[in-house]
Amino acid sequence: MTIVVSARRINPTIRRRGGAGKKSVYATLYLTSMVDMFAIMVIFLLNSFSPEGELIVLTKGFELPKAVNTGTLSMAPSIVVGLEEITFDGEVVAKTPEVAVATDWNIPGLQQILTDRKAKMEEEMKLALAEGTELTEEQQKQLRMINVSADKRLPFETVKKVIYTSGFAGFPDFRLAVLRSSEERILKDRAQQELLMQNKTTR
Amino acid sequence: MGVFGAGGGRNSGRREVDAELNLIPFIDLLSSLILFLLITVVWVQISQMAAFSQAGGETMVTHSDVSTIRQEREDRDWDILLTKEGIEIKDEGKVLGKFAVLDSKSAFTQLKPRLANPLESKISLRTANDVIWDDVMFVLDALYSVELKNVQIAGFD
Repeated sequence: MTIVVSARRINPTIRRRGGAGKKSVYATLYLTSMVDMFAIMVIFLLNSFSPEGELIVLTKGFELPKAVNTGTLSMAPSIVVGLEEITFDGEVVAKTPEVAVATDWNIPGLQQILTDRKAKMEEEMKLALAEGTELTEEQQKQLRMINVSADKRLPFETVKKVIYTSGFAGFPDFRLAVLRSSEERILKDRAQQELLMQNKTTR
Repeated sequence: MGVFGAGGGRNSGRREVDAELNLIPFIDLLSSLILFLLITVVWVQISQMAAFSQAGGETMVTHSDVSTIRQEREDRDWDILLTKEGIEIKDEGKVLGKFAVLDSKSAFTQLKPRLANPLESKISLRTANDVIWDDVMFVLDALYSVELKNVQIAGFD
């Protein structure tokens, strides 16, 4: 059997200490390359930095719809409508399959929590204002805003019930969460989905 | 400390333009920045579709039946009926066309000149219960693409 001898020095920056053939544990670091790498990392991370932070926390397996014409998500109470459950600011308020089959448009658990939140927000805003001053139009708008993130696979009927309930509870100004994408990408995704559906039906 | 130091003139009184940079604090700074940014980074950027404009603070999703639709007839310019089969665009009850969901944008582009004042036109997007949310957002996005932004979402039974 042939014995294969490995290359003597794989990395030219690893130096041998003296002539004893013992490998040094120290390696030379090229500072120029390292600083370049650091700079690139800083630029990349700064580019992906979002000053708004994470306004919506989505669960694993959640799929948001994609859109081209989008705006920046605002700071507002957040409803997440997943395939399994509906959460409000991280708290489970209803089970989606139960909401889907319900004949009533109103979701009692969600409405209760939204009404409480609305009252709390109004109280906080009034406390922050000087006595005798009225809420400005912008502040009133802020009180009506709500972020709704719905899984793209859900039927409209389920989302409609959530929107109806939030509107009824005093949050009629909906911000529908989407993932920003390009038109080509969206069309490509949809074409792939349709192809998958066709394959499923033919099977 | 002398982190940055402009070299003084050596000959002929001309100042050197090269500056010396102390690499140790510079690398420290870069490492701290990278650490901070890695911790705070949000990898998934979620955006929003602009909210539907509200008149009178009422919810946009209403129980719509034939009578309410007739009552609100003068309030909107187009009715877009979205079903699993596609979209149907109506103007005062008259069908302007039927299109596949994927062709929404081209349909709106083609029919937009028929609107007297496209920027202020009110559109009612009436969606069937079994339509998936992705399709609703796709049509809404298509409407926004052609600058038709005064959209009201409603269901129909």
